[in-house]
Amino acid sequence: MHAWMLLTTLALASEEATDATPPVDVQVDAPARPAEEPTEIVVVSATRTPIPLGEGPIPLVLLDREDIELSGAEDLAGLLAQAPGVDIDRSYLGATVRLRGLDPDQVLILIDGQRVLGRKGGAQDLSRIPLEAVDRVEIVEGAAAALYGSDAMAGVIHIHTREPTGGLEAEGHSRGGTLGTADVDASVGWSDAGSSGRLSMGLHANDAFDRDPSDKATTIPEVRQASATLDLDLEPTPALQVGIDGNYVVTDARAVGLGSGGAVLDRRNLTEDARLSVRPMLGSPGNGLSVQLSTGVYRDQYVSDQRRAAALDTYEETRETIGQLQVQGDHTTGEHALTAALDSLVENMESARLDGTGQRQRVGIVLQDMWTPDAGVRLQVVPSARVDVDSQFGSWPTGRLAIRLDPHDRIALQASGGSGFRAPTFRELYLDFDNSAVGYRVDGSTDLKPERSVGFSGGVTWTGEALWWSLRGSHDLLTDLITTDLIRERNGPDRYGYINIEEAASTGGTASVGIQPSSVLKIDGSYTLTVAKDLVEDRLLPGRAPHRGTTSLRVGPPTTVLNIRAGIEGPRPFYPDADGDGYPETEWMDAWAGVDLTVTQRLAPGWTCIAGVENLLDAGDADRLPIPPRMIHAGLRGRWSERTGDSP
Amino acid sequence: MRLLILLTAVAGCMPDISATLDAGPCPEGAEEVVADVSTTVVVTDSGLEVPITIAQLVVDATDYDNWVYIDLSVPEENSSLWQLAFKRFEVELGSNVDAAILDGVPIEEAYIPDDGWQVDLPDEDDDGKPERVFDEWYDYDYETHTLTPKPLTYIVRDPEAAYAVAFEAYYDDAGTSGVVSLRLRVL
Repeated sequence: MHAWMLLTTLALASEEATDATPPVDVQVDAPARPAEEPTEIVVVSATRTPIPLGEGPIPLVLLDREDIELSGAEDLAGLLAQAPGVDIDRSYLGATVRLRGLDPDQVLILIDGQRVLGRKGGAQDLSRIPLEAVDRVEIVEGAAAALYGSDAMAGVIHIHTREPTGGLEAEGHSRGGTLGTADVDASVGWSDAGSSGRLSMGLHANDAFDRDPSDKATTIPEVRQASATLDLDLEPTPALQVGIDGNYVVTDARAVGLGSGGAVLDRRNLTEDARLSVRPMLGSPGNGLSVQLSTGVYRDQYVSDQRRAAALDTYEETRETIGQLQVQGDHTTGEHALTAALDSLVENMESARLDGTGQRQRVGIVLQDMWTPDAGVRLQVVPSARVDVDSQFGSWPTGRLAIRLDPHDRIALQASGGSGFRAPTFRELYLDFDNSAVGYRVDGSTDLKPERSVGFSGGVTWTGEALWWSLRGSHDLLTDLITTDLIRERNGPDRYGYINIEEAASTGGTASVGIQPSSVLKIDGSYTLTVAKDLVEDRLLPGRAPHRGTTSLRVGPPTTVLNIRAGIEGPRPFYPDADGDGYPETEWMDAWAGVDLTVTQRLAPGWTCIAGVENLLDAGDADRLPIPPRMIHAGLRGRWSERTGDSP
Repeated sequence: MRLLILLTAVAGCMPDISATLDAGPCPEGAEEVVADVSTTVVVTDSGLEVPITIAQLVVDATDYDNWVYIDLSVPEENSSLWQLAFKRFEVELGSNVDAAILDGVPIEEAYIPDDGWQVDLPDEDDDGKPERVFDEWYDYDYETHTLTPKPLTYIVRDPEAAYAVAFEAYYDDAGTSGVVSLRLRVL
């Protein structure tokens, strides 16, 4: 979203820069900036330990609450769509995210440290994660398995829910727009001696949309969503803090699809996602013992109702449960900040498509040393190591080394290298999918090994008074990638199975620049080059644009803020077998640009009006770019705080 | 464990939506073998107008396990006297029945060839299935998983008669697979 945030995360905020930074209006323009604001912004995802934004050895992009509200986005996909280096892929599976050209299932998504359930096709649909309860999103690119274990091959997207800010507070927001868009959300926070809490609730709706009227299928499903999030912070004794988070989201999506042979299918997908975590912590962040016990349940009901017949009617129910226990100890002594952690999880999945019930247990042990030697210049050396022991594939070691050197107070050099892996999913292990009606079946394989990766990255960042820029490059090599392959060909129906065969490599880089010549004008932009290749087929991986860019312009505040964001994506290759000869052809999808515009007007203390247009250029098509059409929206946000009397 | 039970209860509080599936009608015309007969006039090379009779058959081959046996002479389902059997996209020749393939010849112009006659054979390529004359009556689209008939006319012959058979579709009007539409002509 704001490239300069990336830049600032990489740079030590010099005193000179701090002093020179123009003041900003906290109400409508308070993006996160390290050491430039009285309150230090703390992030955790790059090292698993709380560190001030911009002081870690690993680059981190932070999208905070201000960004969320100014973006006009209502779900995580919309928020991430124009963040530098982030590639949102929209398909029938929803909106999934790629980092560094790697697949969506190689990106770990966490909510308050807890793995998110409900992957479809291996990937999370980010459009089912509403934003009203989100405080900030931290994006860390690169292999991070040494800290987080499986799935963190391309990086980690860590969502942090909102916490009470102290005192009694209330907030409400409503928005209406074309495409039947309606959003209402509200939250209340409270605080008294020894406890505080926040309850957030939201309702979201949009109508279905069809980009191809020549058939009966819809391009965008009709969605109705409701969510509730509760965050409680208790402090029974000065030394003990206990956090309790609970969240429930129900999403009802309806669409019309086409089956082979021209069948028209009324499809409905009802998902429920519930999670609960308890986090007692002894001591202080960075020097104490924290425990997180969490559990989550995901239920997915899918109905496909054939029109004028019942032969293709289907109902499928999938239930996933997860239990996680994380124990982490942090200790700072002299030049070393040591972290030791134990992660354990129990996963379970029941589905009609599985041969039996999928069950898995895994334990991981993490060790990390954040060493800051007294070397005359600012230097950080952070080695991390982790061993996972999984009930399916056994033990799996990973490691990472990250180094940061600041040769000048405006320049930061960062380099890191690490390994990653992705454990086979339950579907890949136990799938029993017989689709003989159209001539094929797919079987899972319990012999699968995890996918593996090794990644390196390095970059330089300059942080000036009104100008920030960075250059960053990376290389990832992936082996033992899991794919389906024809196991045995019969007359007609084919049998496919999962095997570890694919190899891929992704090389690229991102150049970002941000300019803020005055307190009321800010411009930033980024260009990302991604060359992600299938090394077996010797061709670019499908669906990835080698060239992408983002730009944004913000004018204002104090009372009015104009925010324009654009994401530009170059041509993307696909490999369909268009002529049916059994061999794929290369097809390039045209470049496209997504432009969003919002205007935020402060009406009165505590009251803000927001209007805007999403997808201003009305980009999209039914096949390769199934995104919502141009959508015009307007809304109102009100805040009240006991502390300030108006906006908190 | 209590947390998990509580959460399971919460996550399961939405109603079961399987009840929203209506029973729906059976695939149109798929309750049994349906045959409509029409007459077409063909002009021969010598200019003669020859009326020919072509029957339109719809075979409900949607069952995954059981074959549907068709007596082409009637035509109707008959498990004791049959020339062709259908199960999904699989087509089997009866005993004492052989067949030849006319590639690109419309059924109106079909003829009994002098050679090219084949019978179904036991499994030769070790794929667990016999080598059937009708193995490749369709094109398979790997992108959409759709079966489309090839422009072939099969000549099926038993000791009593010869028949021209051309496939028209593998799906009915509602898109249900396994509902095989054929054109049939007695030669």
